[in-house]
Amino acid sequence: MFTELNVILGFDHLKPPKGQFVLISDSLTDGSFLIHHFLSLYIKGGWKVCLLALAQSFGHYNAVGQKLGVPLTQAREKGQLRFIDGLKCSLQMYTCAPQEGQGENPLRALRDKKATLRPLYDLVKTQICSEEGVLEGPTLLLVDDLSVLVSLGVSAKDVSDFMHYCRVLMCPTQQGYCRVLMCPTQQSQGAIVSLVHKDADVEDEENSTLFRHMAYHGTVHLAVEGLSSGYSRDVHGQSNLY
Amino acid sequence: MAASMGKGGVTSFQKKSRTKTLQIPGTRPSSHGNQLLVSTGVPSLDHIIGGGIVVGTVLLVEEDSFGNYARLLMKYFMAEGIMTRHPLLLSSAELHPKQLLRDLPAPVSDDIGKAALHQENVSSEKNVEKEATMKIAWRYQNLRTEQPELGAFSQFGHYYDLSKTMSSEMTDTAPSRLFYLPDELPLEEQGMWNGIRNPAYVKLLQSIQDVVREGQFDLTVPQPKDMSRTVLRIGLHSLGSPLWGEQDGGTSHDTSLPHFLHALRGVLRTSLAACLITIPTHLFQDMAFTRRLEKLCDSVIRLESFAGSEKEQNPAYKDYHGLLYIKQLSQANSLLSYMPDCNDFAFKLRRKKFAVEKLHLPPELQDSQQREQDDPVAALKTPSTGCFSISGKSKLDF
Repeated sequence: MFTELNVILGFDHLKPPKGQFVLISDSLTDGSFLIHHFLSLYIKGGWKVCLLALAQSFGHYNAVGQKLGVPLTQAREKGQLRFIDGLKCSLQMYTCAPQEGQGENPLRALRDKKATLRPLYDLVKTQICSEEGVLEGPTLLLVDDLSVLVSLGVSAKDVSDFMHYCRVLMCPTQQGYCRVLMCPTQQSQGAIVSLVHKDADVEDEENSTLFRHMAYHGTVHLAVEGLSSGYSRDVHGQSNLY
Repeated sequence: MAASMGKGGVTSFQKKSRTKTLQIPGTRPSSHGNQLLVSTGVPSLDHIIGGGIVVGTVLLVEEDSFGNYARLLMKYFMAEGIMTRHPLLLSSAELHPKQLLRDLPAPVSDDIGKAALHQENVSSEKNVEKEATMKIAWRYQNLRTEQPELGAFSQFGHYYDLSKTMSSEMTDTAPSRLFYLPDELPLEEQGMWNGIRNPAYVKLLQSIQDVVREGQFDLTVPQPKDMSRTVLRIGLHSLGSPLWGEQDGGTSHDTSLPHFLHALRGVLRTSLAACLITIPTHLFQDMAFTRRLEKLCDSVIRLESFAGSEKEQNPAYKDYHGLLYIKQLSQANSLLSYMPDCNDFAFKLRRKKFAVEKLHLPPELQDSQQREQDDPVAALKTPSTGCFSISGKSKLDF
């Protein structure tokens, strides 16, 4: 979608690169347009995409995707897009009685203080891996967005652990110590893109902690913010690349 | 809409209908994207938030210190629902919803007149009488005068008169579901809750879900084609106030209200409903908590009234009763939200009307100017607003 952005990032629009952990952070504005950009980029590139949608429904991504020329319903039917509906799981967790119905929900951590995001990780893994637990072909994990998990009460540490597991799953040759666990000749097949809110005017400790952890893990950081001179209708904001 | 000529069809020029937008009285499609909008009841507010509230989203109003103007907006929202025959769901913890409904502003009389006119089946003689007098606009003589086919209730946005109250027959016959917290949840259960979920919010969400299911507003359930659909208006007045059991004044660690909003979004995205929530965010100690709530709602505006603050004496604000900040606008189903021209709005409550206008600062206030640093006007000037003369003051109210 944004060809200039692709050029700057060094991503080829025909063959998106592997092994990247892209962190998008936004401050006082909304960075979710970049999620749509990466979604369309990787689907057009023929990758398998797992979209963990915690902030919006499928209809939203589909509506934007149609305008961008990426038919998400077809991709979903073909299996190229795996959609995890976070809103539905969260709603179920909220309204079900304490004893029943908690068995299968991946967001059990929202009700149960002792649970972690392990069930969510297992769900992601089953969606994108084959039976042996290995990634089949180039895959992208798109998380929209992590700050919602923090707002819903999951601690920054749990979210950070979850993202660490995902990163090991998707981009295994990132860090040196991972070679001990995985086969050293394995090429990283996947990539992760995630979004964190980081508002500059508000002191949100959990979110800042989460952001720092994610920035440490990430390879590319795209920071989106409003113009420093104030609100303008035509120019929405600026973004920095780290 | 096919413009084909005759049966033989020399041209089969047909307008391609891209999306199957539902035709629901009282709503209109957004110019911004393929979304359906409902009116808030205040046309000037509709204009600045991009046409209205998108169906399936939440408009959060952060209340002013005394809550008066937020309550007024809620009344407008409900009154608009009654005029457009949208079912209502109103919840409140402090004021009984019935009291709120009893005090709605009355619609301006010619809206009612239009509705009555339709029922009498206007004959064509009236048309002919009007047309005969056209001398200047003679080109328009041959055009049919527009008749509201469905009546006033299909109109988007009505005008209200605050000095009069809506008749009780209109409010009583309107389909509505009222949620008054002390009735729905006995006080013992409301008290101290040490779980993660506040039972008051859970009960509220369950009743919202019940109404959506029973009233057939759920979009995931297929409906017979000829059924006329309508939009549910949900009004949650003063959510998050201490009466709802909000403990510690809402610190960052409290996840009950954010989870409620997240689950509410899950319900709304798949239903034909629009929601207006007012939250007294000035009671919360932690700005981060307020920010989290805002991120979980789609559109956010904040009201700041001048009552009791030092701004009341400020001569720049003498025509207005408060300021209105747009903090966020809905991005549902589109890449970008609606971008207003400027972000300086003020509202005023006249005897009959509540209106929102762009805040225009006159360049000079009076001859005896104070020093530059005391000048209230200069202090208020931001780089984005220019110098508008008083005569060029454009009013956004209709």
